[in-house]
Amino acid sequence: MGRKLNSLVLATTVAVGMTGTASADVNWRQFEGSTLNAAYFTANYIDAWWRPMAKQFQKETGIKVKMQVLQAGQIRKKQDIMLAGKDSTLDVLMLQMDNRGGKLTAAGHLEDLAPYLSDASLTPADYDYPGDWLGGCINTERVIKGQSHNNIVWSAQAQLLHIRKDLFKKYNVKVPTNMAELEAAAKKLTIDENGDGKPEIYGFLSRGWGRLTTASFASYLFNHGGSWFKTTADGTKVSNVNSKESVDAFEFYGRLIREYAPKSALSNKPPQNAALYAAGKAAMHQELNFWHGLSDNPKKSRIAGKSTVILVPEGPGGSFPNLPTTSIAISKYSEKKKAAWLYIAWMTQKHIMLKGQNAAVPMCRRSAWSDPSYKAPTPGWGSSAKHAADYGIAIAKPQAIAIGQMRDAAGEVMNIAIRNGDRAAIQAAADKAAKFMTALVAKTETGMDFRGVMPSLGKRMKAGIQQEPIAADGLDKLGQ
Amino acid sequence: MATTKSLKVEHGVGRRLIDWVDRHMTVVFNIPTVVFLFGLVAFPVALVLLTSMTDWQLILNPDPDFVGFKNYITAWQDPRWINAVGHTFYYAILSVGGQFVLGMATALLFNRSFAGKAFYRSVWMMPMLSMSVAISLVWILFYDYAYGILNLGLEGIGIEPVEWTIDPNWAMPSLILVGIWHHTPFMTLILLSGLQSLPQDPFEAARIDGASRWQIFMHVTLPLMRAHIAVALILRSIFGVKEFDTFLAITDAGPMWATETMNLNIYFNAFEYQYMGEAAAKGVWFFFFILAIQLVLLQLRKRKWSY
Amino acid sequence: MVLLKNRLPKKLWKVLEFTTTQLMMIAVVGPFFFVFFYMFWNSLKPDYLFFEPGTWIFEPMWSNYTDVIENSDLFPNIVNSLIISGTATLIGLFCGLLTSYTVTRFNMRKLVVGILLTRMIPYITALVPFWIVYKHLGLLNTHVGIILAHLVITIPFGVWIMLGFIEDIPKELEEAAWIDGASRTEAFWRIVVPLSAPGMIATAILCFIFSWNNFMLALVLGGFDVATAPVSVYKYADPEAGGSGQMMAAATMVTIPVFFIVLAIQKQLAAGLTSGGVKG
Repeated sequence: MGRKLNSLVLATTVAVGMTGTASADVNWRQFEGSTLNAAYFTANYIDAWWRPMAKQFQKETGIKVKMQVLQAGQIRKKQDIMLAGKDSTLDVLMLQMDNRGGKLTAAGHLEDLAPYLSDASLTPADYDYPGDWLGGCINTERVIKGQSHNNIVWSAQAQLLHIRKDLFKKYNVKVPTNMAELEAAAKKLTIDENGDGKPEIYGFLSRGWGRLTTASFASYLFNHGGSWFKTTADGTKVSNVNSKESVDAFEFYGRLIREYAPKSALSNKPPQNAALYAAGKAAMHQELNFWHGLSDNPKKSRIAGKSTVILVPEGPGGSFPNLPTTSIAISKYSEKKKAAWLYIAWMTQKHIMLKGQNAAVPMCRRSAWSDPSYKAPTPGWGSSAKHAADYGIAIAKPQAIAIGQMRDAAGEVMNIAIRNGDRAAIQAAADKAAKFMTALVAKTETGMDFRGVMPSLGKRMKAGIQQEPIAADGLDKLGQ
Repeated sequence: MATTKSLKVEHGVGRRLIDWVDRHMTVVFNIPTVVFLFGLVAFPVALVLLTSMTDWQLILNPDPDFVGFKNYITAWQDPRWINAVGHTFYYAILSVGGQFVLGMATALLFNRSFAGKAFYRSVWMMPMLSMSVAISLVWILFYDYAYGILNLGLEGIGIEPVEWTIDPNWAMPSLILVGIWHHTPFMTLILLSGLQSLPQDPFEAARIDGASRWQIFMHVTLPLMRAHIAVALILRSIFGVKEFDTFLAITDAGPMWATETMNLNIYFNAFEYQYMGEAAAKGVWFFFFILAIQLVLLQLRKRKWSY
Repeated sequence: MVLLKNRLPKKLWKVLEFTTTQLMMIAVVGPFFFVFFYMFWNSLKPDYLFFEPGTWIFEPMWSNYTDVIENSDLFPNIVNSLIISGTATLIGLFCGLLTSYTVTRFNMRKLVVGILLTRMIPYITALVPFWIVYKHLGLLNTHVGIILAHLVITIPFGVWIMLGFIEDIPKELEEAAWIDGASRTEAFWRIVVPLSAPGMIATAILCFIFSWNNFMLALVLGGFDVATAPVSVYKYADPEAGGSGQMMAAATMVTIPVFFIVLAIQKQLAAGLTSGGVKG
């Protein structure tokens, strides 16, 4: 797979290489010979884009980038220890602002990038920030009021709904645009072909594992009109997981997993769920859109060419595409900040980001989406990813300073919702979690205006957009 | 002895050095151990003790205040910690117990001579030599509810599939099974070495008295093996209560914290929530728990320097 | 049994005994071995087949291995692990030999208690303090640093296991040498060290295994230049890496070196462990 993407990247290098390296005013070789240490988490885009690009970067600038790529949970701990210990060997780090962004910002561990952005000797003239960045992405970049510009958001991967085109066509099921249709479709597509009481194909597949569920559940929560937090009349941030709408959402998502998902989902981590979907065992899969690469790879998948991606159906509260963007930042304690910035600026240039876009890594640059050389894996994937990057907000986690505890607290409510499903039990668990979360916010966020909590941040989606990705693949006439 | 001459260095610096080492042997011979081990451990342990009396949080509170013994008390107000203590004993007793029973049975098997013994023994040793992170990956696949090989096998013989790592009640037994698979061979080897060093006379006597095999095992073998059994249990229980890699990889302390042991709770507090003070205090409590277990087990063992 | 034995012809009895023992051993060892077979076999599987567990015959996919080598640091990290665990084992063994000798011959209870206590420290608590100490000493992200940290595992273990071996060496042999005029140190070097060789091999293997398997120490104290094999393998345990086929390929790759080392000295190891070794 790596090799295939490399050649894809190389092909596009030839196509756009002419215009790309021409930015005359930045001397890319000014830090020749230095070495940068970068701490990244495992993701498909590391092998598809960051690794090959680092090689090209070294060729063009003479700067070597040493990457430590670890499982996300581990690299976060590692980054935290290094930052807290003011370690000068960490230069560049990848992070999700909606996860630890608030914590690291509040502690002042990330370098302010504004001076670098305005320095013509370090940033190409056609860099065009933030003009060329999609609205949803920019929305996720700052989480605390008064935050310095301490990260560049680059990846617009979104939590969307993967669907099996062939199954929807075969059984003539309406592709869902609202929550009721989603449940109806999940029910119809839970299919027991040989009648042994065990379905061969499950209607719905999503994360069912405690703290990990917050990411896949977020859109269901907000679309139902719920939210992780709300602001009271006097401006205090309090938990909202026990509101009627939020509990509705917990109940709905829990029911979907309990009744229409394979039991394995309860212990699976995202890659195992993705493999399960790629093996053709589920009709719908709620997961990050870059997993489409796996289900579309004929060597690893039984459903290559049969899957596409749509937006999460609308709920009573509206439609909130969940956009857990990824940012790149510089450690405040790095001794090579300028070289580090040069690396970030180089990686996020127009023509380099376009290469990522063409390797199916959804990017935050508007120009990458509109470039004539760009072709989406499927029309529905392209349409849904674009709208998510445009309208999305970072709701994948209960954004707060004490993020670890918040995710675990929300995960515990979800455990009850999936396993028990009794309304009163969910309400009780939600009340308990809400009390804990509110107290923790009061304890850890005194005097801070922590954004990212209000649904009002998202742009209201225009009517009809929900249908667009479905129509793009010609699935809008099904089920009539 | 013919080699006597070569043993001697008669005079010179060498002689004096050797004499000096002889006189100070207990000191000189232990310098490397003491310097490396205690030198390495001293600073972190001192820092842990210091940390345990502060409200230090890694990112959020980098300038900690001294809070005295507060963390030692608040640790016990955390219901997850109290559950974790129970889980730790649950895991340690059943997994070490299972390893012991199975280890004793296989040690008795290997204590006989039969064709291919060396081959079987080296295959038998394989689990204890394998990396726990790596074998956890295999067990994750085994335990998959719908597509795992264990449930496939159960279904094949007409038994209802088990929700291995999904059901909070089954998650811990699942990990215990991994522990037994992983560490029984170690137990076997220690007990086997014990069996092979037993004197023969008591067995002869028992046989002449007409004791049955089971009686001989219970009343002769087990008591004679007491020292070996104690060592095996001590070693395995120290590792057992601290078992970490398989927990993190297979169940990640879930589902619903049903497999959170003390070690994992400390890990979550220190690295996930970053309450360094509380994690350190819990670490000290954990240390005392391990110490208590060892003191109990040491009663089993009576040797001339019974530490 | 005895009655049956007397009635059957001797030859038939032997065949019967042979078959039952072999079947019994296979029944005991088989399930334990199956895990490794499964690990290797599935490292050649395409990912979607993991959800058809009944399929055992398929076209092997070696690309799982090439992908792991290409996309992770597993290979250099296996080399790192060999260096780190090897050195830590040698030092642990050296310390273990000297200390266990003085402990058994001079009855130094307190030292053993002290060493046993370090074994009980839950190092998970001490990792961040370790990191801080290391940062001040400049030991982070170096081979030396991780080797030193691994001594915390290998030394107590080395002492503990060597104790049993040393104790089993009769004091009379040394005393004979003293009478011949050898000093205590000479007697130790010429008599105790050679006699404890099988024990040392067994101890070394066990120390090596515990060091080789350790994950958290290298994760926290290693870094951009130096990490160990488990750190690379753990990457495959969770998130967006590889898939099940690569997961099994990585697991197989770290399992193989240890097996070869052990198979190579299988005889000595078994002899060492069973000649009275691990009883302390």
